Amino acid sequence: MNAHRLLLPLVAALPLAAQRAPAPSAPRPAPPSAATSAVTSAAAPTADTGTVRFDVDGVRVIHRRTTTGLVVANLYLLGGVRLVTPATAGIEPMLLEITERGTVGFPGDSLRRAMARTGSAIGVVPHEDYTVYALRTTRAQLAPAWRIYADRLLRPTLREADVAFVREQRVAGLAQVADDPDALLESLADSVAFAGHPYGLSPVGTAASVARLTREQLVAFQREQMVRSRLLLVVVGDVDRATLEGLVRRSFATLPMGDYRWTLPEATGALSGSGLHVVSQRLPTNYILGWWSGPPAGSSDLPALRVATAILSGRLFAEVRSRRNLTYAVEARLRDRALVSGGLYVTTTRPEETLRIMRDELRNLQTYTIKTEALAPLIQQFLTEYFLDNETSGAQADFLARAELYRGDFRAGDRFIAELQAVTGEEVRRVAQQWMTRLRFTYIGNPQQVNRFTLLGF
Amino acid sequence: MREINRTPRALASGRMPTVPLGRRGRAARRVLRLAILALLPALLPLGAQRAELERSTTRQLLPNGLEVIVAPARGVPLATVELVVRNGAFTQPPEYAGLAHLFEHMFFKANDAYPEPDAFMDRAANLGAVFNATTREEQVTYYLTVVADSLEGGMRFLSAALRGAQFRADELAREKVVVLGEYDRAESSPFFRLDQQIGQLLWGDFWSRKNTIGDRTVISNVTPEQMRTIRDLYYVPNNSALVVTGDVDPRAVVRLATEVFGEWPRGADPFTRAPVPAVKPLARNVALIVEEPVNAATVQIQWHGPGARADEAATFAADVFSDILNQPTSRFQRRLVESGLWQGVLVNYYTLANVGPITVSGQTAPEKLREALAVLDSALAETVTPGYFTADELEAVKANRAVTTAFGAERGSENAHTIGFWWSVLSLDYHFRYIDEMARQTPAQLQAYARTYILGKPRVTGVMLPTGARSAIGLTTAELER
Repeated sequence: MNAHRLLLPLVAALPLAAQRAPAPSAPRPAPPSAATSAVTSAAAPTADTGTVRFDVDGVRVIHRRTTTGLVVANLYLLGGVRLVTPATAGIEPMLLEITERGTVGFPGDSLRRAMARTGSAIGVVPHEDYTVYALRTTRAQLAPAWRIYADRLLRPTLREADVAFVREQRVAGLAQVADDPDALLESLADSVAFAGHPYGLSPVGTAASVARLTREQLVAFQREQMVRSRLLLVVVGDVDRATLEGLVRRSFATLPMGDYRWTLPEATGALSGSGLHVVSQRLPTNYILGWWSGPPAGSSDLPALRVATAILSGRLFAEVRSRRNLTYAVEARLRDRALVSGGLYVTTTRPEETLRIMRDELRNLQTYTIKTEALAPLIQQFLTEYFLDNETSGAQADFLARAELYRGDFRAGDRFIAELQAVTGEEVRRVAQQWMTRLRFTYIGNPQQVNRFTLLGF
Repeated sequence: MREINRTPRALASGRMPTVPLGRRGRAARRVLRLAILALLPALLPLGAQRAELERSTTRQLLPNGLEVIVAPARGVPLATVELVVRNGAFTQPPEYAGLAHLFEHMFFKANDAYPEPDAFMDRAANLGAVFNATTREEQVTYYLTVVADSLEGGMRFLSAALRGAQFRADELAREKVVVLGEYDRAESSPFFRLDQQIGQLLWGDFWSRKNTIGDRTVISNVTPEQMRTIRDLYYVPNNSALVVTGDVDPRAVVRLATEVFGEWPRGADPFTRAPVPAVKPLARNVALIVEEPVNAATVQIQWHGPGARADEAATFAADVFSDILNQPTSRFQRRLVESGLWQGVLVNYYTLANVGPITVSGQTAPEKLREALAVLDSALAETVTPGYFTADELEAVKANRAVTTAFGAERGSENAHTIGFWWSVLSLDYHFRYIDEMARQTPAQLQAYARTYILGKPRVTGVMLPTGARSAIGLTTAELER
């Protein structure tokens, strides 16, 4: 429970960027006196000189040293949904959850009791591109907490009874996704938008896939997939490099090397299915979510897509909510994954009218060029959000990992603000026209209130 | 998570006010409870947390009664400004049910300084402001985060909205539709519907003062005059606090706050003009059973817990009691969840000045429900047996709190919300003492809390079953009320 909560900032940071934060120890200008300054521009983040990348016997490590007394270790188990099939979706998060129930070094309940004594938390965050296996601890508790953290990955006992218990719990939880329309919408939308592509699979799996996972499959997955070549370890914390290298060498570096190779995934190409999924439910309002599929994360179009999405989201809010009062919730989204995607979300009692306005706003963005100088206030807000999303060690670790994986260098995040500042109005129009097309929608609510062709017309 | 939603970029316009509701509301409360821990440097010895907080926090009461609270944090070059008003659901008689929240929506509409909505949003955009607002049971908050050198602009932006709100009839007419849209979304969740029905039974005549989202009819018929009544009654400096956190100089902040908010005229004490009635005790056990198209049986049992003003000491015991029972290795969780009877069970106390609810909630399969409820009752009763709470458990909870505290302290922008919450519900002093008091709790205090508020005390039991399951298992409200 605590681990899950601690990890939430990782999830919350997704919409902004896979970018880096200024190193906590890095110098930065002192803020002017609040009482005397009304300046509204801020310096971009300073260059990161306190972070290093190294290799420990084949385990790739990124290390940012801090002096906060805290240690965050995020182990990225690469591959995500590209490692599974519809029948095995959800296997890795389930495996890692079961490891909490005992290892060779910490049998049964002794593991959780030992972990409780450290006050630390281990969490598992499934993602389409990887599974994050995360430790949150303090400098004082690092050694005992690391022993548990490593043993869970290296030597889980995976008792049949534990497999059965976790399987039953997870199946029950996944079945309950359908009990809430928003959760159901989010769950269905990817499978519709990315039908036939790995992103169409859920990283947590489905009730059907998890229900069929056996101990033998889990043991085989553990044996075959827990290999050094799949690992990226990012540590942001109060631990020196020598200590960290020692910990890694005695733990994760003892895994087999394997031959995994991280790549950015293929573009979606021709997708299967109709591109529209309607679920008839009697609800007070209708839930609508559609996704478009974009370029690989390394694309130079990404900054402009980020700006275009922010502009569209604002226009939708202004037109659909503020002026027409057709909804409480409407937005445009951008998802930072190895393959970038974006979408439109709204809940409304008048879907036909609302969707037509949303389509018009999208077309305006694709047709008319915004003056580049008008983008400046938006960049200022990105800067505020950038800092907000880098307040914690966990969020910083995630930014470093994303820059490393998606752009090939953890330092790539240094350019985040500069790249946004360089975006022109013409680029915004072009990327909107090029990428924000062929949206594939999921609709939950009253089918009589919407024309299918409206939903297919984006 | 941000439980408190981030604003869409203002260029693009706007904000998404939030009302914590139902399950999400409970989650928000739990997160808030954890966020309490976010304010202090961790791993200080017992008794040192309060001293450290007092040392690092600046307080200044302005002549008009506005309390200015400054808590610097140097992690990132941001400043968060939050205006907290003791308004919210608890001030709502039935004819105002939901209007504290609607007022919150109107806060960022046209005002004297920015008479056109676009001008207001443009100013927010130029500041690079991320802003939002929340309404809860006992406070309404308005906050924005800016890069630190835009602090003055941010304060003036908030002040303009506070002092010059126009409550134009056309804007109110439009915004109430938006709020009803928020209501529609909430009502789409069966968990919200269950929560609302339980709330009505739990609070009786006090329901409008606990029901933040309010009543559809009241919202539909709102008038600008009602908005002005709320403003004149509650939006006075002597019922408000200005909390500033982040990369700021406390002395400069106090000077600026005096300059920007010092002319805001003091008003009469709202709670003398409109006293809040006492919560009537629950007379007996009450139960309800609903059927919904869901995939599990959901149980939510609630009691009247301590009111923080009436029994402050019990609030600390309540939180430690909940923490221990929620530990995965606790005796409680082993009997209920590890046994396979429940898919999960959560114990919670929500601190409020005017009686906070105690909640035990969980999910199970309909066919296991009877046995699951019986074992739940037995497991709760067991908490007062001698030796139930062990020293190891208390230490483990304390260790977890130390680490959680340290990680929470990284998130400077959240401090403003936490400080604002405690200032409005009870006092800043309570917030300062919280960690130390939690660490002092003994098994005897935890058991006294259970005896005083839970065991044998009247409660409301709500059960939500999959459609058709009620008749299949023959469940009656009478057996749940025994």
